[in-house]
Amino acid sequence: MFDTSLLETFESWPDRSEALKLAEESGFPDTSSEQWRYSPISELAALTVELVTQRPEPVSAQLEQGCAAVIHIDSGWLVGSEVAQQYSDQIEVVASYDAAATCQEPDYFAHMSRAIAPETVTISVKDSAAVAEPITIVTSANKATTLIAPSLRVRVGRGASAHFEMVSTDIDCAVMLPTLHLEAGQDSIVDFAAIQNVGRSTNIIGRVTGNVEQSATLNYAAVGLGAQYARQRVDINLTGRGSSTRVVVPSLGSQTQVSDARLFVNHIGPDTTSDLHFKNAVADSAGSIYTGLIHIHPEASGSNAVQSNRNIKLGEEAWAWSVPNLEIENNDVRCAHASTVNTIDEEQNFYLQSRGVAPRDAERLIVKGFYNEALARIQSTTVRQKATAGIAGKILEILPEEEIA
Amino acid sequence: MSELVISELVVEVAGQIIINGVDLTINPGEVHALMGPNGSGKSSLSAALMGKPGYKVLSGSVTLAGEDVLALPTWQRSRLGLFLAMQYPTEIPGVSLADLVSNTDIDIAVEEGLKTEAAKLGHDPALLDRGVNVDLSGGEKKRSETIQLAMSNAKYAILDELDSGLDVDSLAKVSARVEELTSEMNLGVLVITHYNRLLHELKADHVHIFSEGKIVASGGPELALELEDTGYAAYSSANA
Repeated sequence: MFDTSLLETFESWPDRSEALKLAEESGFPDTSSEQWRYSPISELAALTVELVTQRPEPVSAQLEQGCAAVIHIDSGWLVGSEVAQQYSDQIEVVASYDAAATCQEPDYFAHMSRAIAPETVTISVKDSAAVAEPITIVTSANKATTLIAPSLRVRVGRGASAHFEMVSTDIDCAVMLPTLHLEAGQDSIVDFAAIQNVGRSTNIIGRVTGNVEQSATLNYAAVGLGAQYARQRVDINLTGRGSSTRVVVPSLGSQTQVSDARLFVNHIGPDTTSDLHFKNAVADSAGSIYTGLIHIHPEASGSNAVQSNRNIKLGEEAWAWSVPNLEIENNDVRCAHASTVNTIDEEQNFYLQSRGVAPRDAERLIVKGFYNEALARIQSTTVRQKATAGIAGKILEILPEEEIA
Repeated sequence: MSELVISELVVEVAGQIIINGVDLTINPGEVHALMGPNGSGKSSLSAALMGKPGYKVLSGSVTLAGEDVLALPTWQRSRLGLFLAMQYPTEIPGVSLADLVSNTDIDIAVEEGLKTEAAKLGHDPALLDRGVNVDLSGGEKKRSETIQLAMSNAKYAILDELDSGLDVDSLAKVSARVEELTSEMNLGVLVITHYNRLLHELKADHVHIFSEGKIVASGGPELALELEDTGYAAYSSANA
């Protein structure tokens, strides 16, 4: 991925040399480090890719009824945006290269992302703004050989509330290194939901960072259906007293797809709450990786953390690694974690069949039911509906009609 | 030809014979009570009839209206007209009763049918939206089983300890509803129970005593009353 032709391209872009140098110094990761254990990344190193160095054609942003704003990002470039009239002084969308846009414990890909991101699109919601309608972010990319690094920053000010829906349309690229920074100001409520259904040959190595201030709430949902390899590392810092986060990540893999989720939640302030809910089903020889670390810092008394990762294997060659961890440095906390890797439950299957449900329908019902709890946690209607339909469609693909003897 | 006939049925689980030669014929509309001590094989009989994995039929036959039940997979046994209300109904998160019924061959307005049947049993309609049996009390699960029975196309119902977990009022409603179904649907019933109290509303035509994997005595409703006084000791081979 990191070859001389890319370097030549960078020469025309300013401020990239430090990030490139840091990427080189970090080195391409391998599975000997804990954060990359189980990850099938070695084949990415050999990919030949190109950058999108020119801003794609602008898109005429059509604001749908019931939306507060719509933002179009193509190959990492802001190509269009429109804010509804009533929110014109409360929502701001800007794009510029942000050399300081780093994430926690940056690695090779994080540095590379910073080096090649054409710009960071920042959506700011002003203090005290109550944005009732969703802010829609539409991302696209359409060249199979490209390496892109969309960079998005969401800032919700003190006492404000806003919800964001990110949908990807027609994404086809070789590698995506997306970064997302979510900043929930004091007393704010931020809901960010995304559905990823990109082309099956795309590889995603994403970073999400969240900072949640006093008494603020950050809800993050990411539904994974597409891509060959979809990794996201999520770091959320509950810095303010009484801050909370709810993370829900349902994914469904087939063929040789791999979902790779790495979650780090830091309870830094007292009385902080986290609720992490990861659900994966894997068919054929698809795989799922989950490692999670909830870290309760010494000052985080009264904190409450729940972490669950549940997996269903639908194929004999399907695989799942699940490693939830806790690091607790304060005694006055409540923490719970659960981790399961199962096949379809035989008792549930028998129960449904005993009511006259055909075997394949029973399997589909059980798998759909497995996701329903996670989907119900997604507050964005659009993302929830798209996810429900996407999961149902993929279940049909994985568990097709059988000939009844 | 419309009867359910169990003939010389022998079943093993994990290499051990647990049903050891059962003969029983149930006609449409009849109620047969099967009573016996714990571990005698009553629930195993119900599981074997429904084709639960792990229950291997070594010999014998089961026919429903002349059709070979044992040749069919579980779901087709159900569609043929066999219904099993389970002693411990399985929880299925994320799958509502409406989802379940919609995936069967039952051709009725599902949502409305569920609400109507729930009302007949005093079952909170809000519980219908939950995953099947999820976070329901023992009694609520048994009411849910009865709702599904009433909505089914069953010709014969096997009720495995339908009375366990039910309070007195719920027991009366559930058993009365099943009694109604014997008329409404001409339903034949094999009710497995330890207690005569279930048979106050659901009137048994025949009572059978089950011990060590087989029926050891049969009689009328008076047999259930006798058991309440004397227990099963007289029917155990250990006391023979």
